[in-house]
Amino acid sequence: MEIKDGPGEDLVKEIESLKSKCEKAQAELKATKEELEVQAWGLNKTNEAIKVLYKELENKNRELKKLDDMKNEFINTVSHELRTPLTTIREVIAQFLEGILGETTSEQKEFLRICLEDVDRLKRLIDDLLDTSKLESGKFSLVMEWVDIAGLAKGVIDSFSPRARVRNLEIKKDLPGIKLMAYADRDTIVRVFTNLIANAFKFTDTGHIEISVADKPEYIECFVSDTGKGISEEDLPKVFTKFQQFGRREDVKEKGTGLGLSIVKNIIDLHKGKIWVESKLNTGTKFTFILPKSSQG
Amino acid sequence: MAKKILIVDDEVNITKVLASRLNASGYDSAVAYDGQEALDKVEAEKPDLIILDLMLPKIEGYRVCRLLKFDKKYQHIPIIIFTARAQPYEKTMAESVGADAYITKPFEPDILLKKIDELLYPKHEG
Repeated sequence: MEIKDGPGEDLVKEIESLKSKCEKAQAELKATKEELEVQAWGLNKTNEAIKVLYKELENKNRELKKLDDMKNEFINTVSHELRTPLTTIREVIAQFLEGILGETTSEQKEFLRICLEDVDRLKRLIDDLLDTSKLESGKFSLVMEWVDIAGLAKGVIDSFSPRARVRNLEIKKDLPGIKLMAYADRDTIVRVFTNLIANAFKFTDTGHIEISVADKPEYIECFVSDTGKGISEEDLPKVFTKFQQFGRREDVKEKGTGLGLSIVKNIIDLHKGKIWVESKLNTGTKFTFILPKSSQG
Repeated sequence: MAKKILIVDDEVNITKVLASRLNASGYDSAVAYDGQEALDKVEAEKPDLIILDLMLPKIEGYRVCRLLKFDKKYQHIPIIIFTARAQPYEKTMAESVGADAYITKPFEPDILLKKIDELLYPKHEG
């Protein structure tokens, strides 16, 4: 084999160059490693900071929950304290009107009736507040039993007939002639009908209010509809939200709390039912709800 | 002779209004403002029925009820627990101490009067 002069030199040069490249690369690697270490340290710190923040957030959350509980507890207590004297006042007025406490002139009776109306209004507001706070704190316990929904609806409707006469509104009822049983909490379902019908009265000047209870295979379907002023399309999604009051009018005698429909929705939800609303401005509103016959089913 | 009802409540206003309602419905009434007085009045007045509040000074309502219901002399007197405490377990408590009825405040005269009537004039069964 022919050995040329110099190939050894080339080799050495190449090795030298490789070596220096290698050293450079090593230095770069070291620098990168150090940089990574710095970054890792930074990340670690950030991680710790996040943990601290998370803890803080958890604490804040717990505090908020506690405050909310305290608020509900407070409303509960206050409502109870308000109710007791109110019922005494109501009973005294009632006894005057019934003549138990002596004779009163017809003019005095007239004013006593005004007292009674306003006491009842105040009582409704307190009841709404109490119910809302109970529903929100999860302390609302239903007393479930087999209830004849048709009979119950009829009772509520009848209690509204004096009001219908005064307001010159017609109440149409479409009830089955037979009992329609559902496993439900009687008092709260009375509340649902009462709130929906009272609401219909509030927004209807002429025409009629219709209440229907119908039997379906799995559930009972009820609706309360009116020929009132209706709810605009943009307001419709908000009807079941607390403290929402649409189209409040100065001439409406019975001002509400804006809690009535939110309570209705909560009660229906607790019964595992559904409620929805359809409405057209200046034409009328229809609230429909369905109740499972047996909520376990 | 008119039946006598003992009202036990520490709220004077409630006892007055309640007594007036009961008198108008044809009952006699007596009043006690705490648990000890209630026991004394039961002995002195021999009421036909007792309306009993729970939150009472001296001896609380449940204890009054239990004491009366465990006493052979008085256990026949119907007791209506009449309270602002509306928690479901309270009703069970009332039953466990032998109360005959449990009615929550606020006061609705119709409900109370109906219950009194049921307890004083029970319909014969069978």
